[in-house]
Amino acid sequence: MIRSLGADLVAISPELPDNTLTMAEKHAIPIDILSDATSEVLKKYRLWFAVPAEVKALYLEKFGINLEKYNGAGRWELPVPATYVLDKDGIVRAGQADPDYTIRMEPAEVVAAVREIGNRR
Amino acid sequence: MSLKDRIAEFNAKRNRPPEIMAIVQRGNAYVKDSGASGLHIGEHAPDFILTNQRGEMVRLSERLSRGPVILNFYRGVW
Repeated sequence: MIRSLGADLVAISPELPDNTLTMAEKHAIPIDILSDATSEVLKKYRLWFAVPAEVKALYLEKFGINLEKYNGAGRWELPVPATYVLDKDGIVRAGQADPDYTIRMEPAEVVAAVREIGNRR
Repeated sequence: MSLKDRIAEFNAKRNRPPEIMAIVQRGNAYVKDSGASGLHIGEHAPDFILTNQRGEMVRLSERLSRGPVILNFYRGVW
């Protein structure tokens, strides 16, 4: 859908590159999944935060999630979940960022924003 | 079905206890107060180079030269 409109989808997380996938599996993924292993980009985009102590304890003790396993030693840090639609000049035309990870930009809104950019060309 | 409705359904099924939700919500409020609010509409998205899942270097400005780009920042696979 996104591709047919001439747009690229790029996903970014603070995780270290995934070593659990085979090269064939990695080639089969049709989008770029980028690893911001130093959180440099998260910071540039003002999305970076250090996980609060109380939430860290919750993840470790109740959810059994240790972020260091995915992000590397000492990296209890995450992005605010966010989506941005950029036009060809790199200007943000639509987007959303919310620390509540259950609040996400609607895919239909993303598609509408890409269409809108296309119409202006 | 909208993504919003699907997430609402998932949340209802997951049904987390109020004491856990309170911690999550305090955490979200803390992050909001920290000023991590992301880019504004109309702002120029900073360029970057990062490595993709195949170990290739990806530059945002190179991708933009081909057309619009949707950037999705996600927390992880867990």
